[in-house]
Amino acid sequence: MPTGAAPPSKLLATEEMLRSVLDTVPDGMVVIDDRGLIHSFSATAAKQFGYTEAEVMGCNVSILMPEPHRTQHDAYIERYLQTGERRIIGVGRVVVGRRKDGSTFPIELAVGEVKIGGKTYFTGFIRDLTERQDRERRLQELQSELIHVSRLTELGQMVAALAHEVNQPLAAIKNFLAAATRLIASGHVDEARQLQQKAGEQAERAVEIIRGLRQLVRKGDRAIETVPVAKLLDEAVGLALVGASRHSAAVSLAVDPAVTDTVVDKVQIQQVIINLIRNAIEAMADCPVRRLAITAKPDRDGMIAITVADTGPGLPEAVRSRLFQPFVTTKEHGMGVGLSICRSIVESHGGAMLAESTPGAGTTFRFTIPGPGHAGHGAETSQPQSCPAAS
Amino acid sequence: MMQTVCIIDDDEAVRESTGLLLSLCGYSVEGYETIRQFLGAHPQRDNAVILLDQHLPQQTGLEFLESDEGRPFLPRAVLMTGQGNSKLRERALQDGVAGYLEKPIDVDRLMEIFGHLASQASPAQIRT
Repeated sequence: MPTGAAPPSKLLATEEMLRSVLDTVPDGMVVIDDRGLIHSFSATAAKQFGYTEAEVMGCNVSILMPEPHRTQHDAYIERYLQTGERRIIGVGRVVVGRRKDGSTFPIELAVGEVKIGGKTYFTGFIRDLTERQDRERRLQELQSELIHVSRLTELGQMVAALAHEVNQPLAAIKNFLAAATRLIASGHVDEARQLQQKAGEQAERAVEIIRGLRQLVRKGDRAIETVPVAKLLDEAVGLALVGASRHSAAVSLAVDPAVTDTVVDKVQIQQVIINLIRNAIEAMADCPVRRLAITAKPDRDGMIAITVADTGPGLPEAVRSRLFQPFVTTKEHGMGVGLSICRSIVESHGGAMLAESTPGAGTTFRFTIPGPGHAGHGAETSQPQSCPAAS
Repeated sequence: MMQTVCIIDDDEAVRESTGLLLSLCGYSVEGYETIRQFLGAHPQRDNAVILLDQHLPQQTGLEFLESDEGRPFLPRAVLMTGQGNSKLRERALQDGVAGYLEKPIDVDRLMEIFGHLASQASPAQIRT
């Protein structure tokens, strides 16, 4: 800072410079006197609070805060002046500001004290935290999104590898059966029968591959944790709608107040939900009414029942009975592996999954996950799997 | 003379079933688990057509066909893959393979390709 006498023009320039600096710093600045009256209100502060400098000059600073501080602020100053006890001066803390339109926003407030000509002034530096909180929240969202994406990619790779593995027996089955057909046509029925037998063995091989995949899902490293059900569902719905068009479906989420936490591998269970939601949205694509209702309710034995209900075309009976078996799909380009994996995930958490469907009225998937009081949650289940080709 | 087809695939079931089908269609079939085995049996690079799997343990089918050893077989080779993609297909056709098929293979298409190869009526590639 310049010391000693300076020419008036230079003083003016310094003041102007100071002013422009204060106007461009990201923090707003408000100067008040010992009665709480505003003496200076920077351009940034004006932007933050929605008041012009002229509007607030000489007003009590309490207009910038919500209750109870609004009525208490004069007393805060009074107490400080009498006791010297610092509650905010030189400390800085996160408080709530109040804009001209009455809305509130989080701010980080740092207060300094200056004495000029025997009078006490307080300077308040205000940083709007709205943006930062948004950014942090966005960051968290992105992180959880990333975890899902990487898991889904893993799943995608697994499915690609699986597709190749399963393709081999399928190719063999196709050839054996084509050869058998030719043999039958030329009257060689016994030889044809042998080839059918061989085709059956290859089908068995395909089943083994799928069984292996299910075990992979079952045994994979799982991070069992206690998660609030509402949060789990909320995030899953958000993630499921990533990339979906805004008008793809009207989604509602209702969590029974009696439902609190669940003890699961959060990412796995969220994947089940994401899968069901995406299936539902896809199924409703051509329907005039597209509603998706997700609910969580208490179930027997300390379990929690989650339902995902759509207003889609429903499932044909032939599909419904084999729904959770691998390679059953109603999708034009589907692999039919998703629901099979979903059920494996749910079963590995000690839950069960089923589908109810009324043709023309929609489909409801219902599955259970362990609540906080459920004994033996996350226990590995080893019941035999039903396999389409083996039965 | 009966046309010989050499199947090179490390998957026994695929080899056996494809071979059976082709022999029922009137071809003389030889099965090989590896490219080495095939080369050992066909050192003089005779006129056999080869049905080659892309996914082989030591070397992919296309890598072999692009090598000095494999290039002579290119015009008589049909590449088959269980994990097809457009890039692989483009590359194979550009290299000059006689055919490119995805598993499970369409037998009728395969017959068509072999028919063209046998008659040499059309030197054009069969694209599927």
